[in-house]
Amino acid sequence: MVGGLWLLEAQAAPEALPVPGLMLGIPLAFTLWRLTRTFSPSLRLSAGLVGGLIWSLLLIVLVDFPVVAQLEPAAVYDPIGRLFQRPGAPNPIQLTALAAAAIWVGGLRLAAVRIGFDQLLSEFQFGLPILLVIFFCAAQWEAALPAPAAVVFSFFTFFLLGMAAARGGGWLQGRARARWLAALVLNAALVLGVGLLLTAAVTPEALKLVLDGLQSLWNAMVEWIARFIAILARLIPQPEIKSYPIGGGAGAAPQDPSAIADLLRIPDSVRRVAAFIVAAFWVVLFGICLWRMASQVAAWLRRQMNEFDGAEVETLRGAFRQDVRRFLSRLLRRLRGWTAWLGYLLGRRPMAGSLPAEAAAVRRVYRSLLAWSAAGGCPRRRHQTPHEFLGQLCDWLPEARTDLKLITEHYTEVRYGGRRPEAAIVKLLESAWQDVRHMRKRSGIQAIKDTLKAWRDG
Amino acid sequence: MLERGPLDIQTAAERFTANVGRAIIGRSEAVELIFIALLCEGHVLIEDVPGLGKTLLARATARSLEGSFKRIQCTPDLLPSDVVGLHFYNQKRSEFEFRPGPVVANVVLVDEINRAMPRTQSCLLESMQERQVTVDWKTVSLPRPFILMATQNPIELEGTFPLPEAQLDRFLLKLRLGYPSPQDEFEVLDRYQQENPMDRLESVIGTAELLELQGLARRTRVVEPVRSYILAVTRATREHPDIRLGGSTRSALGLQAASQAMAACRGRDFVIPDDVKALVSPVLSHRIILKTEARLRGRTEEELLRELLYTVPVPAE
Repeated sequence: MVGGLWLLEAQAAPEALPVPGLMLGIPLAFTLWRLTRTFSPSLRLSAGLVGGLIWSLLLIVLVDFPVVAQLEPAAVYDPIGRLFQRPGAPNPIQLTALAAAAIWVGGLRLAAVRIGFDQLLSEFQFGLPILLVIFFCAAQWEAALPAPAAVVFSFFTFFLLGMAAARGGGWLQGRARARWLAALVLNAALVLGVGLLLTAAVTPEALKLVLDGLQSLWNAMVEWIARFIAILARLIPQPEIKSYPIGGGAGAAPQDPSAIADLLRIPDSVRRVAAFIVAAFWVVLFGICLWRMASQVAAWLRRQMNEFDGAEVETLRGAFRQDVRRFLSRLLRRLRGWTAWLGYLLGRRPMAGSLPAEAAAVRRVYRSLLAWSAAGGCPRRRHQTPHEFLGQLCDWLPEARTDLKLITEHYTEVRYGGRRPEAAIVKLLESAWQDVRHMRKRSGIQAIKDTLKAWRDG
Repeated sequence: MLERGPLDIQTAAERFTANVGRAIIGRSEAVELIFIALLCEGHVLIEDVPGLGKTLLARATARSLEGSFKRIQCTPDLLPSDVVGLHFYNQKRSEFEFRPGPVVANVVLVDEINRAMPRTQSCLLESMQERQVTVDWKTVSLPRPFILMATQNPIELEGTFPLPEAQLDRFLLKLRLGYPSPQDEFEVLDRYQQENPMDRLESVIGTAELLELQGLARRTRVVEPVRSYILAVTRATREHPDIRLGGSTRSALGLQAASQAMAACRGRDFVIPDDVKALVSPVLSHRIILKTEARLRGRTEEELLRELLYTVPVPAE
């Protein structure tokens, strides 16, 4: 996100975007989303939207007039007026608002996403091409990003630390947590240290040295190839040059060479676009090659792992292609939903595929249960059916077995049986769901009490 | 026709399982799968080593159903005419008459099917798919319901002819019985000490009833997300790097029909993803072909299908 903002700033509004201030939106949106988790989904969404709106407006007003003492009504109205200014290129206020909205949505998404090994890997899969695209655009537009090494370094550090924490979540709660924690910290320090060393070593001078070396090597190779071709050319007999009489026929009048050159000349704009397309093509091709090679290596490793007795092989959620496809189909579904919602609001046609209120309530209860259990450390895997997940939930929270079973059974009937439950059932389920939540809180408090008691007893 | 009131599928399933369970001990899962095949009017291939009760299970199934039962013992010299029937010249009436073979029955047990020659195996294709047999110029419809149960032994390969893919694809389910638990084996010895329980088995479901139950099972609801899940599982078999030949469209149809029947047997009128998952192995394991390198690595169809289910997301919130 920082890379994107820097690119936007460098290309569209030089030194006009408050990048650090904009980045503050992520923790704010994250905190707001987490604080409103007890609200109903619609209220929560409204709170997220209103919060984003207030924050964006506050940011553009403060950016335009950084001194708070100068905040007068006219000072507030002026930037808001410029926000809706239409003619010409987008002004810094509009860009700030746009970036603020994007950052806010990013923060909300970060708060809503379920952090896990496969999720992190998937995020990394998407993050890496985005980063490459940003650098590619920056190179094409000759925009100087302030600290590209820091961005890349942070990206990989967060990814590696996140993966380590996600994979070792169970270990960090076990008996040997001190050792695992130490190993994690040491690993993080090692990654940071190696990264810093690499950042220090890979300077423009060093890169120039390497590139010069490569250039010399290339020149030497070209020279040798040229010499070889010259030797081959000498072996071929030279053709005889014949002279023809001048002015033999009545041909057409020769055209002005400059006119022909003008006809063949490609305009600079077309040339730049073509260069961009060709470069993009090669980058994509290179990316695909890298991806295929990585997939082959991963498949080979997987096959090798399968041959080890007792080896734990985790099935990953999907490769890049499947993830992109899934992402696009999800986006399409979401767009369809929004279109239907818009049509419904405008009264043009009923919402396609809309659920009865009772069925929607049952599904909402189950969704809340899933989000809550995932946040508490018991997420549903994508391959698990509701009944399979019920077993896992019951192991995690045995005292709520009856309520969990009730919720799952009714959810199954609604989801797969197309049933429309009665209002009394919905109330019963909502009450069961509240019981489960409070039970967990009670059991948590009870666990702390038990621990304290055990500690007191020595 | 048996004298009884109208049956619902769950009651019929319980009655059938209890009846077969008198002769076959500790095989309730296999018996349930066979009842599912009966509800789908699908054919069953029972594969396991000798002496585990394959033929006994098939006979007990046939005995529990009202209707005609025929048995074909396959050998290398068995001819197609021995299976489907033939025309013979009746000298008294001075005309050709059709004598139906043992395949013309409600329940047909084809024992040791892989011992028959390919041409004899192939003569079963028409009867299995189209439920008719064609002999010379005459086409004869088979009685309904028509269910073919075949057994084969995967160990003794000498003198056998592996079933072609086209034929395997026509079996709805493939069952493996496996060795019974020590308790079940003890119970078998105890129960068979004095008498053969097979002799006391009686039919508990009539043919008309079974046809009615088949109609009821087909009405079990399959919502769109579950149907998509069935297709996703089938398609995943076609894209797996270790599988040379994935599941066919017929296998997806079979998986859906079997899931409907399983849901009905468990008292539900809608299919849930658990039904599909439970049936993936029996429905698909004989329809996929592993690559040679996967087989050399010791991988099996069941193991791959189990692994594959971890990659297909279940439709839930």
